[in-house]
Amino acid sequence: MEGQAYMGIVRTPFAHARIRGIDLSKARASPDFIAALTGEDLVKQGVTTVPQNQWPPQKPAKRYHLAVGKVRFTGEPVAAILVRRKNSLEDLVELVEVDYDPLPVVTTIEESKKGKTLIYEDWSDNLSQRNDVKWGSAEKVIASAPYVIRAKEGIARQGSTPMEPHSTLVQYKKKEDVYEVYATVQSVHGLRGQLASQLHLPEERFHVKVMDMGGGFGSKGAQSYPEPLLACLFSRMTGLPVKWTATRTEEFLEAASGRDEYCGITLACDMGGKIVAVKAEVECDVGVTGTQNHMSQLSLWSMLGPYRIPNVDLRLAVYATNKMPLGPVRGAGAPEGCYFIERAMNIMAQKMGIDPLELRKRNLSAERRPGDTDRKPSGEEDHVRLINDLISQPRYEELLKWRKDVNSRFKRRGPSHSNIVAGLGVSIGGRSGFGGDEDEEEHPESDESPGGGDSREGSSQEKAEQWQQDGSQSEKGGESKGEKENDEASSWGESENEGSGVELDFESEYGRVTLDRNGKVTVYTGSSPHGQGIETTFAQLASEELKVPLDRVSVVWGDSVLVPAGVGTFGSRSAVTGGSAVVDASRKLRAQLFARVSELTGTKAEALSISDGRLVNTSRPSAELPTIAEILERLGLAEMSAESTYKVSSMSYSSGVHLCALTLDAELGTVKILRYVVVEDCGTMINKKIVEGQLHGGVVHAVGGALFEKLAYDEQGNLLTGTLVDYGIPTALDSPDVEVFHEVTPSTGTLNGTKGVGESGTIVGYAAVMNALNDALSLVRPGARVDVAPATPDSILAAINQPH
Amino acid sequence: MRVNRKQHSGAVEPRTLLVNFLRDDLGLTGTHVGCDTGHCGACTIIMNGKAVKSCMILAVQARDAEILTVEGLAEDGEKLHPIQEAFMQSHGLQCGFCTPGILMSSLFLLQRNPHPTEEEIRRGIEGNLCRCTGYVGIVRSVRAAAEALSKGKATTKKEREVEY
Repeated sequence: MEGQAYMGIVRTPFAHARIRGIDLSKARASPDFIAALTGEDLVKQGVTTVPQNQWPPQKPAKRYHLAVGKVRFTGEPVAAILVRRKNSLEDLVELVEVDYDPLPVVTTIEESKKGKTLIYEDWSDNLSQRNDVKWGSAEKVIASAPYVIRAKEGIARQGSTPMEPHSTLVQYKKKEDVYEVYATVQSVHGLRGQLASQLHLPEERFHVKVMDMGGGFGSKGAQSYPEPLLACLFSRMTGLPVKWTATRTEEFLEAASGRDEYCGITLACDMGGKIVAVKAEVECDVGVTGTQNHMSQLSLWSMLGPYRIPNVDLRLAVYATNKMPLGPVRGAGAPEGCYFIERAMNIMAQKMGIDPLELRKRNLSAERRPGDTDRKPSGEEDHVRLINDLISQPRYEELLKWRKDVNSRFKRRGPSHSNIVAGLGVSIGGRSGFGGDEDEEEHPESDESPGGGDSREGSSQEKAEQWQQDGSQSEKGGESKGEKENDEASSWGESENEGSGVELDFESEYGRVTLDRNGKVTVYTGSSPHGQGIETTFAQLASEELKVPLDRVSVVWGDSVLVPAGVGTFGSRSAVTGGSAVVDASRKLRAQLFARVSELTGTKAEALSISDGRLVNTSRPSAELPTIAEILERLGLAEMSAESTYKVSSMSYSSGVHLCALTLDAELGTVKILRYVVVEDCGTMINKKIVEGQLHGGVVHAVGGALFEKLAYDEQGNLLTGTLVDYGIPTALDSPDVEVFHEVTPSTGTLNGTKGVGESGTIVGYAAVMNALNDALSLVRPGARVDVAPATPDSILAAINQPH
Repeated sequence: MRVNRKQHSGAVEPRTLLVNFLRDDLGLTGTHVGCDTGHCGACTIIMNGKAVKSCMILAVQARDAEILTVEGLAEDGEKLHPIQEAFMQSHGLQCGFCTPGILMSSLFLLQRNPHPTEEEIRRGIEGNLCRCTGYVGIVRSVRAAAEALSKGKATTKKEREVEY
């Protein structure tokens, strides 16, 4: 923007320290200096603390967007400065002198548990939350089961790592008293709500705009970051447009990272290969806690996969440490849960000596789950078909044979000697394996399954429902108001879209479709695309509903004024909710148009149709009808429009079966993925290329997570992986070609038959890669296992060389 | 320097990076900055016939250089280059942030090797990171572009590569 000033953030190099003082005098002396803000300034101005979701129940953590008194993680913002020139930004940030008094640092769950050093002084220990899911009598059943396996699994802390770092540009317009906020967020209206509540202003005072954005993957979701807020304050103070762009290192220090969950799991099976019990202790390192602290709760739910398990005992403990706040990363807890169970299933299959897919088949729940109604998506239960599809692929046979061939040469003496072992791995699942309908009375797993499924504790059922319901809410981004109750799902919508009069929640999205005199259709959506192809698919939906050519449809998004309300794009929700709203609005618009045409021409509305953008009388195709332009002209309208906040009758997610084929170099510990096959069912595909693109990217995200990616901290809490090369997202050479096969079982829970597919590649992918790796490892040394991702060459060689 | 077949000149602070000169001084914001360490490749441009990361070069080092950025790929700024066309048709991009760099690396690859294998394509774009596509769509797009370019040459004899 013309005349813009540049904002820089002063970040602490200490993970835990008291702030003795901040000296701005040297920075102030520079001719490029304009203004500065510290935590004390935020307190003085009455800015709220970092919002924290109220679900699940957790200890409140009082922390400001600029540290007050104490810093708690390396990279935490301490002060912000505004300068005239981009080139002097880093110089001036360095001139700010902060006097720190370092404190002992907690960077591991083990240290956190000891509680010698408290992250928050008003806490009695570092435990942020604890929750159990329990039914049946797992302990007892495990004690007498013929097959029992135990494993310690985990996924390290990993980043969303979109290619575009966070950025913001704010212009405070004094005359209108409006903040024009450009930001990189996955929810336009979520940011509007956050800024309004943190600055105690009405939402209308913020005009939030999102332009083309370079990816998000959760890190640009509902986590409340300081920079847009600080830019608003600076712009109001100075009247200047204020620009901030994160460096990649700042991105690694601050943008919400995910996973960091570890699970001690015990799985018990009867002689017939039926899982009779699962017991698990899950621990999560949530860092200093953030806006969204429910990822590990979602993992707990995902852990039960698509299976029917009669005795369940899952315990979760979430610990605070001196690390950046945890948040959603593609899959948001589901990849962890899916990985924990799917890895355990393979260990069990190996122990029992049965085919891993066969073990899964024996434990899938029935075609329809008890409690399902016709409204429910039918996809979750279709794994049997997906597994059969995979087995029937020629590729499957071919890969089994390939594995045998490669492994026959392993360690053989003579000229065909090879260090290369082949491994195959499978996994199945999807986001949240069972229904999460808030109005569903019965928990699907609480049915009369053999082995005492009905002896589940009542209290945990209540808790369970609360999680499901509130969990959906907390995904929506930006809520910070504490007093939410279970039954206030809709009031969330009101608070988020206050002023617009539109009520939305996680299962709904805003859509409006207009038709103008030129026959041009415009779709307005609250979804917020950043690579998901929403402009294309939503235009397709409107084009199909209204029978106008695709090139006459345009899609408007990313503007809190042009689109009055919205939830946003995350959690595999846009095609499902946003797409349904577009279909609903298009149908309403068509009905409205036909009603008016009928009034004007006497043609029955039921006989009307549109073909290639023209009105047609289907009972008398030869009859001349006015054009849409003429109709609008006669009505004196420039355009006709209809709105929707369609609420899907249930969130629908795709299910998938993955097969990974890789080779392991047993001497170097390096892995190469050679083939990757996905068989999935995401219901109706609006656009096959886009669906497959989502799966390709999702799978490779999981490949990175399984083999390379780790945000590593040293014992002083310094981030050791502050650049892309240290962190290690997969390159083209690290990534496999991904073959995708489809089943199409349209969801009955959505208007367009879709099921969310954005995260499914990542959710199911971790286990497929890790299972393939462990398949290969078991040949190198029976009993060798790597159960914590990423499986780096170091950990692979350690597993080969040491007894497990 | 000549950028996209046009002469440009400007005075810069010695420490100004070429990518910042292109973006901030010349307004060519198609070249992106995804990191500060030369790893992401979003800032890849063609300089004196070679693909380079413009965040790793000072603007002053590019004095008198011949530069092509993504804005210069399309003929007359309108008709898409066959590589761009292929990326559009084969779903070679999702968020699009890495795309300008990937296009330039692909151009450089295809000029040296008009018929690359999948492995060669993957090696050719190894210096460009993408988080959305898993590279599957990108590899397909580059292959499609290779076919289109060689077909174009065979049938019309028209030199479709961009001149520097």
